[in-house]
Amino acid sequence: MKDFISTLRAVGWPINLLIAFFIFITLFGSFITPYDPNAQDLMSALQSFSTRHWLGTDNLGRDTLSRLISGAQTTLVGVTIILAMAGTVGMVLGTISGFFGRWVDEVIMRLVDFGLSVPSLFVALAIVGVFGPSYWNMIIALSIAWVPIYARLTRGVVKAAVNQPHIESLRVLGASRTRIIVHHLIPVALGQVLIYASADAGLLALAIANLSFLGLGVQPPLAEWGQMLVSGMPYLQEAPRLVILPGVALTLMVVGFNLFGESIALAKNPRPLSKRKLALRRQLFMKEKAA
Amino acid sequence: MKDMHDMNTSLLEVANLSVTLHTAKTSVQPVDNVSYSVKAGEVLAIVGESGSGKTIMNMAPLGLLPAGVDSEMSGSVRFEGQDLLSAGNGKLRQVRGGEIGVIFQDPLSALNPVRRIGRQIAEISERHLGLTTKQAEKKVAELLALVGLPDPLSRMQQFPHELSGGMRQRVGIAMSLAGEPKLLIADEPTTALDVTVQAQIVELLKDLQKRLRMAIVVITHDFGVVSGMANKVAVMYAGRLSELGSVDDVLLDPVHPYTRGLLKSVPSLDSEIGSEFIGLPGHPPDLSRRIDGCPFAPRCFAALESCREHRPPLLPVPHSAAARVVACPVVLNSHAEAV
Amino acid sequence: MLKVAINRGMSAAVLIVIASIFSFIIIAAFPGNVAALIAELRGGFVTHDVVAKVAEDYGLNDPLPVRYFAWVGDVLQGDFGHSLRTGEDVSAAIVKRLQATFILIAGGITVTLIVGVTLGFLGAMWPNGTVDRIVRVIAVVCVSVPKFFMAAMLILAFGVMMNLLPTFGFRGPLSWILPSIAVGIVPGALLSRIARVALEEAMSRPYVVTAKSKGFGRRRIIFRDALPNIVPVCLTAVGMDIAFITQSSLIIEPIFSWQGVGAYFVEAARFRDLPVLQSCLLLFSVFFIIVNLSVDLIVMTVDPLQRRAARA
Repeated sequence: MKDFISTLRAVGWPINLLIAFFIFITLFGSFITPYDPNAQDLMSALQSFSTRHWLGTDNLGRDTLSRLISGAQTTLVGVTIILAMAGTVGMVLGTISGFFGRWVDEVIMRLVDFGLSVPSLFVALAIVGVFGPSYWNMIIALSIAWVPIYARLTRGVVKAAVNQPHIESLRVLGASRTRIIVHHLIPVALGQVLIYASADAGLLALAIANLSFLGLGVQPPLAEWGQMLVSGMPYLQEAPRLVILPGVALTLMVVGFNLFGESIALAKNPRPLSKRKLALRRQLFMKEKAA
Repeated sequence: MKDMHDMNTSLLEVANLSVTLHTAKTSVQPVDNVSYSVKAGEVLAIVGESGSGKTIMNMAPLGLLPAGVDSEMSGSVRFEGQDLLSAGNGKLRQVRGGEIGVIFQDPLSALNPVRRIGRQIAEISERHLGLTTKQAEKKVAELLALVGLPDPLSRMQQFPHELSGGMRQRVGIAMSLAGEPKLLIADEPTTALDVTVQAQIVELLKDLQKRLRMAIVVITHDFGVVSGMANKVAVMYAGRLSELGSVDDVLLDPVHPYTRGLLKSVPSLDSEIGSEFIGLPGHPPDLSRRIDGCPFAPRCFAALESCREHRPPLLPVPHSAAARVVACPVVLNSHAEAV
Repeated sequence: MLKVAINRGMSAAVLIVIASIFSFIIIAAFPGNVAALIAELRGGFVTHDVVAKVAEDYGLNDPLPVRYFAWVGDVLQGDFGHSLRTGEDVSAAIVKRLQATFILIAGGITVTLIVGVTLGFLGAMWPNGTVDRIVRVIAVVCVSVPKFFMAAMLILAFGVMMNLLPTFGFRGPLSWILPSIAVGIVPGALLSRIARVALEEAMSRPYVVTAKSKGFGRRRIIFRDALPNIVPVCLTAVGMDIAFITQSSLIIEPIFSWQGVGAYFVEAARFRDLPVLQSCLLLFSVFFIIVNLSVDLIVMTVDPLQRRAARA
């Protein structure tokens, strides 16, 4: 948890702000949408930007702004559920694998290897294809597709932790397995998983949109950006905004998550200070010296 | 021309050098107003605990600090009369490798893991001596033989991880010589090696120094290395010079309390089995804080109240060689009385 | 070296077996009566007799292991069964569609390399400068753009507005351009980012300080010392990109109305065409496992560190 907070600090506020913005919309979007996102009004279909409908309406006369906000909710809620499910299952599998080792580890890691070698969209699509397209099938399919990466991650962390002297000594002192796992291994793994998950959220948002774009994810009338985009495709010539707006919204959200992930990766390398920071440091040092 | 260089003028002249490092979180001053000089053909050992600023002091003026460290320097570092601190990048690049060779502490990480050893050395001769590829490779073979690597031609085709630690350091030494520098800076050249290999490397460096008549600055915390190869010793504590003099003077008759403590903590073969290990009490000070007075005062047996107030100046030791200076007025007084 | 290669090959074989089990199980896990579904899709009246006959024909009453080995036996002989929807022979249908998918993958990789190398090079030449920052922004945005949005924008710009390039169908080299770009830009940007981060990491290593101590300038150090060190990382990234591009074929082929294997897979998922779904999943899985294996082996031969590890 401490890891997680210090990482947030290292990322920089513009990125955190962007993510916070989407989280805000998700939490309070329902109060600020000007219209019911699903209310059809064929009389005012395909309207352009206006004071009544800020971002226009779609082919069924639904308010685009309201649907965009609602789409943010759909995506982020979906992402959260999937990350929670995949993260939990992955952590359990990874901990078992890393802690017990031997054949348990071998079996789990082979399955994980398979999961990692086949891109997640294939696995998810196959699962949805068998069980039929629906919101929950999509959630389950993506969760399954996302388990291996978290299992791998957790296993690495747990394996490293298990070999550390203080865990070794706990074992010698007679701490039970459950105690070691629950009190010492899970918290370490949780920090790493949280960091990874927040960087991973962008990919998941894309995956949800991909499935929905293919008509195999979120089902109408629930608003979702990928699906809004695909239903706008026939009107690409006359009303490109129906394609562009959801695309831009989705891109922005993914940019936020990706920048977050990249800052984490880059924060590990030492970098020269920017000129401004250097000057600041210098001043501070002079002051300390003079004091 | 090298040999014609007047033995009495200094090759390297460091005057009032201070280095401050800035990172995102803190600023530290690991080198604080240090002066010393190295004459052609001379071997200066710089000793001190880890973190006393020895490495920074030598690497910062050459621009060889690790990535992500910002340094600020004042004072002057003159190499053959030219100030390196004000020299441009182009001049510095000529000095590095060509005029001043560097040997690093850990030869494994200092060598590029994915390039063949021969190439890594040859490129220096090509750059600084203007040799063709063929001539450079020939020179590399000679160098590798010179540093005592058996079968140099096949070694040149190998990668660093295929050699043992001692061999790697020999490669590192060959590398530092490839540009035929006048001065060698050896940063803890034996620390990362096995004890048995350490002696060999010291022997090799000493031998090379005699044959090539280079000046060497060897940074170390090992008095074995000091007595093995140096003419002169500079003892550093907390970024400052505490004692400077010839090896014989300093090792046989240490004056500064810190030098004495350091020497006492070296276990010797003569001491009785079971005799107590004598270390220095306490810890070195935090270099990010301002230090008034003598930085060693908190750990010093002879410290007076005045030691904590004013920075002790470097003073010549009475009745000893002219170049011998010590930054401890307290001991100097008693020393003078004793003699 | 050879030993390790054989070892890798064995693991790949194990993965392929897992892939086959997974492809089989996922279909066997179908909720509801497969026989009824098949009978329904065949059209006509669905009676108990018809369903029973279908179950008999397809061997659906046999225990799972028997069915699995029967299926594997068929697959090994190149028999992937018949589409439930069209009755078409699946292997023939896939062979017919391979060309489009391969062209898409090849075109995508070309674009990936062009974009990745250009952006990565620009960023590395002027690190932390304006160019690097612009490149970084472009790369991050490109990585984040959904493939279908990218495709839609390309269609809008080059098809609808400028009317320059065909946006529909698989008809000759001109029609290959937009899909290749749509599928290649994202992995290209990703590649440049990976290369950039790896380069920055490499430039903070002690051997770079050594190279500096030899009197070389920054650019030369980048090319001679740092780049060779990130080659394995970049090769691995290209391998990942191949997987990524292939994954994109699922989205891009339908958008541009290409009759490729990706589009076939999506169609099968939509219509619950179980034999097609199963066959495509297996084929793609095996393809990815083989790509991974090849990349591993190539990296192993290129990277001297791994060569040593492999010998020991």
